[in-house]
Amino acid sequence: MPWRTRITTSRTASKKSSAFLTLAGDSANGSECWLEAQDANGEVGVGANIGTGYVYLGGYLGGITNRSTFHAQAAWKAWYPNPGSKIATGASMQVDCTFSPTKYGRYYVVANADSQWAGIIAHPMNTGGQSGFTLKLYNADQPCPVDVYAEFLAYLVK
Amino acid sequence: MSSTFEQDENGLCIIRCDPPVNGSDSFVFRPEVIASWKALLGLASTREAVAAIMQGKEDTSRYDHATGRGVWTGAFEAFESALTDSATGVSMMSDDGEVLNDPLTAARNRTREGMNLPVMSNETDARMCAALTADGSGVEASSGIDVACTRDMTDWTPSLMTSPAKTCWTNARNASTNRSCQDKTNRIKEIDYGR
Repeated sequence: MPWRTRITTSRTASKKSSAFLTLAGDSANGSECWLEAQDANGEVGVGANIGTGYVYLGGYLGGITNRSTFHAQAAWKAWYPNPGSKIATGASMQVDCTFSPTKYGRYYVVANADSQWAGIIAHPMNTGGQSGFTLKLYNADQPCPVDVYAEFLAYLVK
Repeated sequence: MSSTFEQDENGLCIIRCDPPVNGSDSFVFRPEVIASWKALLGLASTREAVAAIMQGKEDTSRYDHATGRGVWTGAFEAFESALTDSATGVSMMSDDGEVLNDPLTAARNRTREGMNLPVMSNETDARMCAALTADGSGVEASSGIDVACTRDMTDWTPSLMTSPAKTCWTNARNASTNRSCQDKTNRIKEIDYGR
């Protein structure tokens, strides 16, 4: 027999948002669960359905303090030519990226340059730490006249 | 030597140095990193935290693959113990009056060593905490980090946006300062008067 349980916090005129947990078993779509918070603009949270095998995530990427699974942020302007100048061919630079540390585990990182310029090489080093890593940038192309942004995703592993 | 301290439109702190500091041309971190490093390493000021962030080099060889413990784990544990007050009853003096190693300071020092940063004495930690709890103290407290690399920082204070992580760290740190550090200051006074 299909069954469904839903636990929802109260939603009153003074509290315009609420949170809910839904567990649905053995329905036509298979069993699924949802843990979400919602207001008039929509919902954020997680869901999973064993029938389809999909997991659903919605919301900005955050983390639980001291145990963040990911560290991520918008790209930043990491490297740029001086006014009226260009980043020389073969020039390199190094960026220290620091996090609020994790209590357990360590971070590895994927990182890249984000730029109009084709020949920028970017890679992380000093990975496997609890509090950060270092990013290397290298211009393997013609002298670069444009800004070079960078971005990364650090992920927690044991 | 010159360096610039800025915060981009997303709130990211960016320090650019010419020439590089410890091989790096720039340093990038979210503002809440200042709060967590202050609390975990016993840093006395934003300037000292920034200097530690710029000079820290983590010894990843200390990582224990079986348990997931690294150079920061001990500092977390000691800090959490201080918050729950389990460290308050620890005697700070042996019979001959020698100051015993305070567990929080000892743990912070192990993490500092693991980050290749200078360690501090119990007295340094207590003095630093006393300075933090004294309102309007014009003197910038120090726990021993070389802040020369922050010379151009002037009064740069990264805007903390409204980060829940930052608030959490500030609350935790204040709780720690008011409780265990106040006690430590008193204990140091006892030592002075006792001789």
